[in-house]
Amino acid sequence: MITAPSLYFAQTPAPGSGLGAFNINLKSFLFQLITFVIVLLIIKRWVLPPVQKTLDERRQTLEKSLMQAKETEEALARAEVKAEEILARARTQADESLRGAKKTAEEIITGAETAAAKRGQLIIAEAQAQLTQEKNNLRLELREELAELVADTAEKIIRQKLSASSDRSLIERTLQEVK
Amino acid sequence: MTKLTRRALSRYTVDQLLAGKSAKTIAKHLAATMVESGSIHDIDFMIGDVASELEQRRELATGHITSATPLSSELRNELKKRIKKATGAKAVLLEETVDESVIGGARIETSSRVWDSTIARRLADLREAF
Repeated sequence: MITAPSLYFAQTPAPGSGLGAFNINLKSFLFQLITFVIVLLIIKRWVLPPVQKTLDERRQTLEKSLMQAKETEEALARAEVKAEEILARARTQADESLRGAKKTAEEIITGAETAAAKRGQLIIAEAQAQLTQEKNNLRLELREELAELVADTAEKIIRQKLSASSDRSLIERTLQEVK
Repeated sequence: MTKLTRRALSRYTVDQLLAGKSAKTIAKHLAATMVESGSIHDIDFMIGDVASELEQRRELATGHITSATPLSSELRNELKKRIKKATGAKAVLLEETVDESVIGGARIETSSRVWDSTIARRLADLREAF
């Protein structure tokens, strides 16, 4: 920044000094230095604190955010662990339930098979008993029919063949039994 | 009034008959007693009981013969003799029935025994044997 006093000092050279050898005007240099210091003080007094404050606030916010993020990450990690535990527990419970259900199903199937086998045996036994009964009834019926047939045939033959003398002989034999 | 049993009645009747009372009078008394006691429907059993009582007392044996053909007098006399001997009775009353369903042979009954050698009986036995 070039101010009016600085321009004034710049117009008065000092060729006999050391700085003059470098083509620098001392007065101008001092003036600029003072100006610089004043500006520096102003900046330090009124500009830097708000900026510093803002930067601090930003830093704090960032730190807070970072902390929150870290906490969130940790919470997430904990939640993941918990979720894993819950999942593992759920898996264990599901496995147990599955095993229990499988066992129950096997027991039901075994029971049903046993009952079916017993029922089947009972049906077979009943059928065999019924068959035997029917066979016996049939045999008995056949025997009765055969006896009837034999007796009927015998009666017809005897009626045809029985003579008066034979009948008398039979009666005499009966009389001899009367004692 | 005490109700008389059939056996007691039959004994009383036989006693009266053997005492020489009129059979007609005895029959009337017996019928009246049975009507009064309400056992008139047992008359057939009563007659059987009287016959049995007479046979047990060896007074009179009642024989009944069933045959397919009528008996000859010879066979009839033979049967009477045999019944008299079997029962020990003094007299025999023989009843005869001709029944063709017996086919052949004879069935002889007294009040206590039966001899059945008819062909019908044998065929029935044959049927039962099966």
